[in-house]
Amino acid sequence: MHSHCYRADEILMLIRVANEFGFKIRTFQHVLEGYKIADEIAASGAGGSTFSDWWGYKMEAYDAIPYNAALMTDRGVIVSVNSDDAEEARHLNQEAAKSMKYGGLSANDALKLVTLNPAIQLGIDNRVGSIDVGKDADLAIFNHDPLSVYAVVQKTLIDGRVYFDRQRDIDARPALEKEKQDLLAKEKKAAEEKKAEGKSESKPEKKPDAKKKQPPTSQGNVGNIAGGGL
Amino acid sequence: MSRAISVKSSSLQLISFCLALSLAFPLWSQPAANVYAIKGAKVYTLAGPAIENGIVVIRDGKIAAVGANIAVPDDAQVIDAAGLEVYPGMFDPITQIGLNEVGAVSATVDTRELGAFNPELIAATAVNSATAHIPVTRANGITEVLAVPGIGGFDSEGGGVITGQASAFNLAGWTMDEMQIKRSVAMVINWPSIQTRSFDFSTFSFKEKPYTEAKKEYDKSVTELSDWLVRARHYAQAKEKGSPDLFVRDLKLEALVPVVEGKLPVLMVADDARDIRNAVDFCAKQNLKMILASGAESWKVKDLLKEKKIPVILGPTERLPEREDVPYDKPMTQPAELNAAGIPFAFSSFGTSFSRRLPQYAGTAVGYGLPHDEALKSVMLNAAQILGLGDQVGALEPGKLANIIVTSGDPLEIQTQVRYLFIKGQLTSTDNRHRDLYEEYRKRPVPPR
Repeated sequence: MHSHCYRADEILMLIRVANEFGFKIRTFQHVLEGYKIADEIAASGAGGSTFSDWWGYKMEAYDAIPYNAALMTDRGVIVSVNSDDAEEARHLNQEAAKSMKYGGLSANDALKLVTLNPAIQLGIDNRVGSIDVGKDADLAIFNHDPLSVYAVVQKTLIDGRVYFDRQRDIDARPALEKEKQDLLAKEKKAAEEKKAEGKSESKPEKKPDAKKKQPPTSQGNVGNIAGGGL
Repeated sequence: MSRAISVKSSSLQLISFCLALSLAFPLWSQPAANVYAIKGAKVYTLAGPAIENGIVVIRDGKIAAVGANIAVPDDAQVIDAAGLEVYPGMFDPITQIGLNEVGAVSATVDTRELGAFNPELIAATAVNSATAHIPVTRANGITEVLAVPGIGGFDSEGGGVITGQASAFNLAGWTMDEMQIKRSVAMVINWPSIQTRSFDFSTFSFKEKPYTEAKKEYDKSVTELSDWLVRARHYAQAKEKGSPDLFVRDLKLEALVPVVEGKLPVLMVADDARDIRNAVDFCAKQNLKMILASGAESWKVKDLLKEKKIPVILGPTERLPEREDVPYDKPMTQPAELNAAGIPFAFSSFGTSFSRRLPQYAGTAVGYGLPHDEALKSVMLNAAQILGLGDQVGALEPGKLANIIVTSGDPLEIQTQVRYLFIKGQLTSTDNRHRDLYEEYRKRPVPPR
């Protein structure tokens, strides 16, 4: 069982309920005030999955601190850093590095926040989370130390197969752009023909659908917060 | 500290308290010095090449001298910064710091007023100088920000068109009067986008509307905007040439006069290439001095921005591409593209609690091709120049405000620590709510099982 939570009191409440009814909480999610009761969380056997440095967006996040992951780790909690967001997930390596700055985790412990520890929390560390003989070949290849802001993922492998290759992605772009332009030209031509046809039959003019814009896929200015479940 | 001391009534108590302070507290808690010398560090002035083993002399809030072979004044408090690096403090040019404490608690959010046209509003009036966000943000090396009304933040959708004037201030000081760099830096205009889809925070879902309806709303907004500017021009004429007996003061129109005269730049918020083109065209016709804000699709209109000399204040590199057919890394490569095209740009957080991520945004862009020295400028110097504050902040040069950071290394790198912080020439604490909570709970004894 994983439990979404923010404040220390509500976390303690659930630990008591779990003790009373005899179930185990595997991981506290978000757990923004976990650092206040890290010993109790560690004693309960639960892990903590938190944000790197989000805070202040709502009242129960006002005591969230970027030292949370490091302090819980120091007190014996298995800690991961999560994204809670499609964009934030793209740079979890950077987010993990923040626990070196805030709380002084070692590079190895910081990397574990986004590799081995989440695997342990999900009970799948026998298959993923570290590079070990017999484990799934789920690998990320960076051009720099992944805990550096300058690191860029070059390749991502899942089950030994290359799902992402930065160079391949870049190389494919001109062909994709050409395909897009061809499709747009085709659509424009079709719309013009329809228009000409319509005029000859003196039907009312209709705006071509091709002009309609796709809505943006990002959250725009709202930033990371709007996309996630918080 | 003066606040704490002033409540002590007994003078003996006061003396012993001061004595205890001077022994127990670090440099920044001691009586304010006027003269400092930072010695032994590598100094990145951003006004010329980096200086190995440089000296920076600070006097009366300003930078007095920078160089390798300059004298350390006798009255200077010396900061031994051997092995460290010195940079201008960072400038976050679009934030809601001081206007937004807890995003979801509306009583703590003062980023906008009712109505779509509020040019008379000035952010500085509403900035809470005691916000917890200021010490948190400056601890990461950001020394000055622009507080911007009506854009960004948690409740950014469905806002006004002219949302007020943005104010620049230093992230240290007891009151806004002490902190202020410039009260009115730019007029904020949210360019009315043709939006068929918008996010509704009350239902936390997207709402759709037909294109024709969205276009009609757009045309109406643009017409209204033009009308306001026309009225401001008439107002200026009436004030100058009309009969004083018949002249009636109007604060909204008065606030727009420097805008239509091209003296106060417009911080124009637009993302879509179409919106940017329309906004640029509008500003050219109205003779407005435009700064593009956000500019997610600036890369599509580089030639136009270059030709019209329009600088860009970019949002975070940490966002998804605007459309499904845009390359996954466009938000990260766009800064390098703008730089190569010779378009001045600066990064900004567009937020409050995310302001401390400013160096991370620039660092990420370096990974995707932006030269490192340009990335430093894009968080330190460029915002100051774009906003017309380059004579006051942004580089380490004599005469400028001493907003300076002394770091353990590359300030764009995530693990780098800010060791010393000078704001307006004062050695300023990097303590903050987050570090306080950390230190407090780190000391918690292990509870009995």
